[in-house]
Amino acid sequence: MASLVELEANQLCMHFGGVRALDNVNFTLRRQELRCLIGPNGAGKSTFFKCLAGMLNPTSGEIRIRGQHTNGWHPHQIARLGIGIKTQVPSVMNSLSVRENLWLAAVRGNSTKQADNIVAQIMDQVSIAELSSQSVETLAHGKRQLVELGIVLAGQPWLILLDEPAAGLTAEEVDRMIDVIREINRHAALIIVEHDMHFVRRIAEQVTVFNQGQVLIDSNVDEVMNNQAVRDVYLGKSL
Amino acid sequence: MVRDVLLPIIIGMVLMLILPSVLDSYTLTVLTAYAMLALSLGFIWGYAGILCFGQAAFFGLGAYAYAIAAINFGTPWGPFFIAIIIPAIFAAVFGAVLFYGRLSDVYLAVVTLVMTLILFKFMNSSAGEIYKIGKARLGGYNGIPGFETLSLPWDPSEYLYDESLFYFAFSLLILVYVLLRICLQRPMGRILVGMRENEQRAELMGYDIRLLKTIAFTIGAAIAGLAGCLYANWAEIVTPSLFSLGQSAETIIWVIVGGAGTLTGPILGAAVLGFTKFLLGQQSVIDNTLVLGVILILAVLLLPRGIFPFLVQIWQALIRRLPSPGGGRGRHNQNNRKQQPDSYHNG
Repeated sequence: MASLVELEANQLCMHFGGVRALDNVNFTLRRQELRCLIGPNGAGKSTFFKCLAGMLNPTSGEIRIRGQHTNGWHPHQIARLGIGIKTQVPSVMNSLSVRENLWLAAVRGNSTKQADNIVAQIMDQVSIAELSSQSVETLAHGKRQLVELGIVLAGQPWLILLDEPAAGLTAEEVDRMIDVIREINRHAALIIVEHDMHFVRRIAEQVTVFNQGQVLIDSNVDEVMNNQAVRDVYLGKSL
Repeated sequence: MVRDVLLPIIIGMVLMLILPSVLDSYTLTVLTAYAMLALSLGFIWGYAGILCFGQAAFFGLGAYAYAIAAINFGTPWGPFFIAIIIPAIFAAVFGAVLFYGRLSDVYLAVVTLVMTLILFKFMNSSAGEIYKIGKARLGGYNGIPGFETLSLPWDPSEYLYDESLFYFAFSLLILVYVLLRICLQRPMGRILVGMRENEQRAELMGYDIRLLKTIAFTIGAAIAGLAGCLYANWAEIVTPSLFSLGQSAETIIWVIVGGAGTLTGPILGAAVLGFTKFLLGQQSVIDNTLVLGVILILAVLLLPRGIFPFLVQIWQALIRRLPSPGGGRGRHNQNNRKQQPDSYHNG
């Protein structure tokens, strides 16, 4: 089964001065797995996410993506491995049209004609085709989330990192997001950082719970939800 | 293609033929050199988001490289290309240090400003015998006069000056403008605009923004060097004032007043403000820098997007008032325009 491991983090530490945002984190992700990362504020989820994405350089430990040691790599190098990253606050190119945003992601490594085809297909998949010519800055938050997801998909990644994809979405938009994530998961692995436990329960199989920079538990969703330690962490009780 | 290549060429050629009957070609030539300099900053700032406070450094380097090479070689056309290549190489090395060092926007502006001031100080203090490159003495405050200027390649005795120099300079301006327009329509140019909008997203898409910025910075420096070369041929002397803080600041003002984020705006800004400066230079009642300052303040307050985008807005409003063939007032035009990312299409 070891050959199916796509991403590994071993003894990963990230310190900011005296603060240990990540403290010896071990993590493994297998091919086409969908993994949710949960935990209270300040648990280290986003720091871990940023280390994987190359936005932070870990203090110690190692990250291996498809066997490549990626510590110290820049975000564009990580992205070129075939990893799509969606940030917590939608990171889009504001004054450009929706189509242009997706096209710029699709054209890297592809011809302009191929990029056009990819964009048409992704816009249908994410249901944003009717927004094609609109400037992204004019869109509501939920639509911007979908546009950013479309940008990520246009890069045709095999691993997608999503940071709080359901944040600020309406119930209808959350349903749409879940459908899209399930469809993506047929071809790609996903790591999803999320606070919304209802959302996690609806999509996750495996869940990793972070607390105080460490992995508290790494198990299937039902076990995690019924775990007393996890409940205590979320309710703010001491363990 | 028609809109991006043929239209600018036709409009440019018409202007090139009309302008000498309106203004003397001596003034027009220097305005064209200024327009080229403004275009270089308009490209790197307006499209790649790099605010360079020292664009005059590349302008001065181009002018000095031409003068020094022309004295050493005794012919003008080799130096013409050297005037483009030297600033480009300097910018590639300097830009790589800045961008690979991840210098943020504010520091970048400060460092480029300091770069031009260092060159200004150095050239000012290069009057001694030891300051010479080959046969060319740098000349300190007095600069370098008496170098070979451009002539016809097939007849070196036929110099390009006055009207012929203007036609040559203006043709180059049209050529550079069209090449930039084409570049901005290609994936490379569109990625630059995307990077300007959101560097982080461009990186997460897999683009190496350090490399892209260095390339854009180098292209901008090559164009500024070409502008410097044209200026040197117009003035027939190069002096350290080319590197001055005033020259750098003026270039930024031309771009802001003309319209950053467009290619035509900076050209227009340089032409209008450059000409205003010429007119003001002929009187002694009021200091011309004061007037330029007032123009900048008024432009920022009243036309925050610049003169050219304002003119485009008026033009679009006029077209909207015309009845469309379908009988309506052409509201579909308005919608279409709203859907276009303006950075690519407003020229």
